[in-house]
Amino acid sequence: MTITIQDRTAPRTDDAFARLVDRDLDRVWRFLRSLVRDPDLARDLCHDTFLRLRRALAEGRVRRLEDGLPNAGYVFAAARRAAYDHGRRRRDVVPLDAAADARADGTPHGDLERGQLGHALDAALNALDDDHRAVFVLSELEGLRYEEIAEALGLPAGTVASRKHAAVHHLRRTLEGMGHAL
Amino acid sequence: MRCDDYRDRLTARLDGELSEHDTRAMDAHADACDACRALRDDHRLQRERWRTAWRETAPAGLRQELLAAAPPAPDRRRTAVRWLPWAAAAALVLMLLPRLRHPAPERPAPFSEPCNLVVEEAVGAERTLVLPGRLL
Repeated sequence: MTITIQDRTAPRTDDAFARLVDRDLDRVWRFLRSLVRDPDLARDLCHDTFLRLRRALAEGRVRRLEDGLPNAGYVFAAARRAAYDHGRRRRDVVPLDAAADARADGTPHGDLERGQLGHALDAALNALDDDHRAVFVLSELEGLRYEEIAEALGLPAGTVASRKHAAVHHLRRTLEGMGHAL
Repeated sequence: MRCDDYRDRLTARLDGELSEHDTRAMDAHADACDACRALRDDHRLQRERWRTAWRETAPAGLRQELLAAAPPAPDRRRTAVRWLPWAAAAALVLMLLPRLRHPAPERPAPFSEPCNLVVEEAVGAERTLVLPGRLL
């Protein structure tokens, strides 16, 4: 006789995971691409990030849920850990110029729609150090609150505020120098 | 509020991160100062343009790949680590419980006086025995 034990939480987890992907995939993709600057690597890290999130949902390890889903701070913390772990394993740096060249050649990720300002923004972001870039992307471009960014990046909220302020001024100056002033 | 203070806090104001009191003070200054109001409008417009340029979507097919991926096996190592402190606490309680219920009686002195005398004699005899070449 075969006894089958059915995991009653599985359908619920699958449903929550599908909603999580719909809600966060694009912004996690953009965040990771800005961190590693290589579309292929960002794709791999997206897999890693969402695998971590799916496991956390299945094991009930997400403490603060919003509408049954992890909050933004938790999601981006998972993405950051995925990128960090990858960097620790590989101990290499993605060649920035190569990644930028690949995008300029036309990668199939909607680059044509982004226009000149999108490319200028990429170049200006690449000139920022990792810490300021992550804060700028999450706050100015993705609209997260400082508290959520602090959770995602493991920083005090005051540090988030000061890095954001510095990054905005740096980006404005850089883009003005590239002819993208308002 | 001075214009320098306004500029320093403009980013936090646009991010909605100031207190209600500070937000009112900032907005009152902008209403009264043409230069700061223009700077605020400039920052707002800049942000809109950045966000529009930033709106890149994930690669086609990535969503389906994620949904089609096999559900991950539970991380047994993490589960074990999660239970470890509770298991240690339970073991500690089990060890201490009998002592709490039946405290150990006060111990008598290690040896009574006659016992001490016997020990001293024994030690003395041993010393005597090991003296080389004299009393053996």
